[in-house]
Amino acid sequence: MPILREKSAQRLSPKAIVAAWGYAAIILLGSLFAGQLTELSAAQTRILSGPEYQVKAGFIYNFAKFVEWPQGSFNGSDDPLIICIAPDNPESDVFFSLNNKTVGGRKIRVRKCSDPKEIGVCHVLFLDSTDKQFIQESLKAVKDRSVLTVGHIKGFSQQGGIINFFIEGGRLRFEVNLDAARRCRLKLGSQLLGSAEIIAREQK
Amino acid sequence: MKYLVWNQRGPRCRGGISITAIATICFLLSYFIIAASDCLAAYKHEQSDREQSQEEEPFDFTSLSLEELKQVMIISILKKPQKLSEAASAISVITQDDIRRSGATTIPELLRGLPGMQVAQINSSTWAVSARGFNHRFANKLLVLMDGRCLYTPSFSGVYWNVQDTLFEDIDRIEVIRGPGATLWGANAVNGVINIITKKAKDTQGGLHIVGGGVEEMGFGAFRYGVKLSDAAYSRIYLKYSMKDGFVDNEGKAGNDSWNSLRGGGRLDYSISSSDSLTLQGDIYSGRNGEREAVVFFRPWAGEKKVNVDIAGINIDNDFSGGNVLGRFSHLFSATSNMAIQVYYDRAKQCKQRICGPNHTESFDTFDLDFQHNFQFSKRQEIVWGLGYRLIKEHLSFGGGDKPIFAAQDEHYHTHTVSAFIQDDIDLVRDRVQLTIGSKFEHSDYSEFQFQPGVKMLYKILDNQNIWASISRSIRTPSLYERQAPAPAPPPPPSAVNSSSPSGKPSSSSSDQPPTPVIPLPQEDRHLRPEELIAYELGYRIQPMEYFSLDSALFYNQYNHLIINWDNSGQGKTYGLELAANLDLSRWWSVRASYTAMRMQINVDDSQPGGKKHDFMPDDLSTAFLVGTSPDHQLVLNSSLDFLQHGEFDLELRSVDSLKNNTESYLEADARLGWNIGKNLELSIIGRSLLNSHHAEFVYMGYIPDSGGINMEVERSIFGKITCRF
Repeated sequence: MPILREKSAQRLSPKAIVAAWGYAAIILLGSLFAGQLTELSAAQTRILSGPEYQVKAGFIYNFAKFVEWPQGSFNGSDDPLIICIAPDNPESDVFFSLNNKTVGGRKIRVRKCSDPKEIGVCHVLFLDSTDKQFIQESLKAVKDRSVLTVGHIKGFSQQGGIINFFIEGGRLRFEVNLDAARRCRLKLGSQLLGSAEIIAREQK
Repeated sequence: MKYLVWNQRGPRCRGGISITAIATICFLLSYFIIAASDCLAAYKHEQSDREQSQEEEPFDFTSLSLEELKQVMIISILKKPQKLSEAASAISVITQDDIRRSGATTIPELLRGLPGMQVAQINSSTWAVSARGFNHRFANKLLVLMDGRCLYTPSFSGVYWNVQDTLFEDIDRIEVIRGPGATLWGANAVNGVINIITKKAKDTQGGLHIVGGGVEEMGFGAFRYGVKLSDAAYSRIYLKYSMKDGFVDNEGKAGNDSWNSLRGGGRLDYSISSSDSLTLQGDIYSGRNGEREAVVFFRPWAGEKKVNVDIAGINIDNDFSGGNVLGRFSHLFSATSNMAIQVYYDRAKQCKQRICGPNHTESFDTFDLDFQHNFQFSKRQEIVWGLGYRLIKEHLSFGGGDKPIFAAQDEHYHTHTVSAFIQDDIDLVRDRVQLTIGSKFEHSDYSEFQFQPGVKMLYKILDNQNIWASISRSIRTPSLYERQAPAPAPPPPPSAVNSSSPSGKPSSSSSDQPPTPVIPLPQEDRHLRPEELIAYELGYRIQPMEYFSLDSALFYNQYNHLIINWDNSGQGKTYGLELAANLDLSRWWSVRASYTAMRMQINVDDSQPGGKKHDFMPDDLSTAFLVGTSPDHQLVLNSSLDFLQHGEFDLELRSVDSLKNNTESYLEADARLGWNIGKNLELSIIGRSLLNSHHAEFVYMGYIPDSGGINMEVERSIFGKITCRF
């Protein structure tokens, strides 16, 4: 069997050499440029960062501060303000850190609910779910009560929720549905409305 | 019959080794200096961060005002992977962590460990990859998508794996669905769909350097940088280069299948508003790989008038290049209704330069437009429907080269495909039984209107176990080669045989005339029916303990009108069992296993004109060569171990049964040892195919008896890798 072969070294075509050089040049330029950028951003003031649920807890505490519940929502003057989280996810355990903090002279009580029936007693209801059906049922359960409903799913306001979180540029933002708040006889403070990114009204 | 191996360089292959060496050294030096400075800076930064954070107490976010809270960056907690997949199909997901810990450098290597997948390497740049049988270099029953773009070469309806790549660190996950996904995915998804999904630009912010090299993996490097353009717009760019050594052939001699490729690309994600978002992305690439190809030669014998046939392995160089741009716009109508429009353009070109014989260039321009709408139809029904249009322009040219034997041929083809699909997910019993019905409708220039329906049902027995079943019909449109390739190639006119003489004068004891190669040329279009599959599947998943899960699937596939020997002469069935188990022994040690058993029974109807077999092809071999083959048994064991806080040790063992195309069974092991210095720097040593110095995975030229020196064998490779984020 005639086998003709010639031991040839690994060679690159001129194209590959040009490509390698181009690559090197781009990496050099890119790295220098990138290095500059990193230094610039590091020089800026240190950006505060935090886990999503802790920051959300901070937001919800602030919401409670700027919402006025109608008379009759609390039995006595020292009745606690009840914040419900539904459903029961282990991630939202950080909300328990709000327990014993006070808002307008009232102590906060945090509760976790997994059944829409349990949420009637709440003043704030955080629907920590993306299950549209669950949200729909939960919103229905608190429909005529003065409950500040908070969600974090697209379309929450359209479904009748009052405050909805969304993330923009790695930061939490929120939108407010004024009509829904009015229906629940909740007065939203100007600080709250001023910080809202979107104030939605239900179109007739 | 004689077998020759020609190993001469093509006319266009020049380039001095000295220039290469200088270029490489300069490139590596400059790269190292820059990368090292970046990495050092990142490391220092991390150290100072750590010192600061140790002093800080957990921050009380209730002390901030709303305006202050709005400035806080969110550290997102990664969503836990689904405990039990609740899809009514055989699905596996490869996560970014799996990719990182595999140490793989090519996409096919990532797919090896999955049940139901057949992956075999033919040479350093060429693979045979398929799901549920029919594995072949030109496997054509698997659909591969990257971010919604079809990675498919229309000429043979399959994937050129040497061309398809991306920066692995930017891949979010790879979803692999075995079985017909035709109701959503289109005509090529007969046996499976591989969906490669890259990360959003927002998740790849900052810089990344990768550099490494070793035995076989001669050198690779990558660079990525992600920039935030505004609160709503994020972007990234990347570059990746790799150079691989060739393997050895089955006689232990070095082949010419070295491979290098350079690619770059970028992505831009822009949130126009809370309900509209836009993504633009694209890549360009170029590279070269060598290959050995079996070619039929016609040799005039001295003193005789008749022409004899020879088969030889000739070395060819393959230059490939291409690029793509893709835009996707999605809009949210309401909480229960959204739509997306995607458009892309893809260009791919390959030029095969043969030492002796015509060059062969093929280029493809693909234009694709897709629309998809997803909405809640009723309380229990969710409907997704879509429309698609694809135009493929193919340009094939033969001829040219050093000594043209045939007149150059230039062929242009246009194919229009219009498709639509609709799928309805019905909650028959809430949280218990789910029914999915749907169909895809397709019309192309080469196949009449096709209806591809499917029904799937999932029953959740308990929270930790479910059972599913499906029946579906799927088709595959004949590829350009199938419609046009002649069988067998006609002998050239004697004048051409006598007058042409390839350079290098191969001497042959039995001939005083040099041989003349014959490359199959496209013939006029022939009418073929699409291949048809009726698939029956049954699956069961259980997670009895938090730390143990088992996924099993049974399938029975009935194929009709299989295209064999350029005719719809084949029919047959495949059936098999796929098992995947996952066991988390502790927080720092997890073990995975996958086992696949399957059979292929394909019959060729000889009565049809194209069904006659060539003399030198025995029965089993010819079927294996023509429609592909798969191992009867395949077992992959995988262990991921964390040690000493910073260390990672990964091991994969693969046992693959013999193939009908004369490939012997083999046992191989891959290993990776990784060490994390801080969260920004990672060092690893990776060994692949460690148990044998070289082993055959797929005898591509197996139909040629005694095909010495033609087939390549996978060599052991060991290389180091440095990854640094800044």
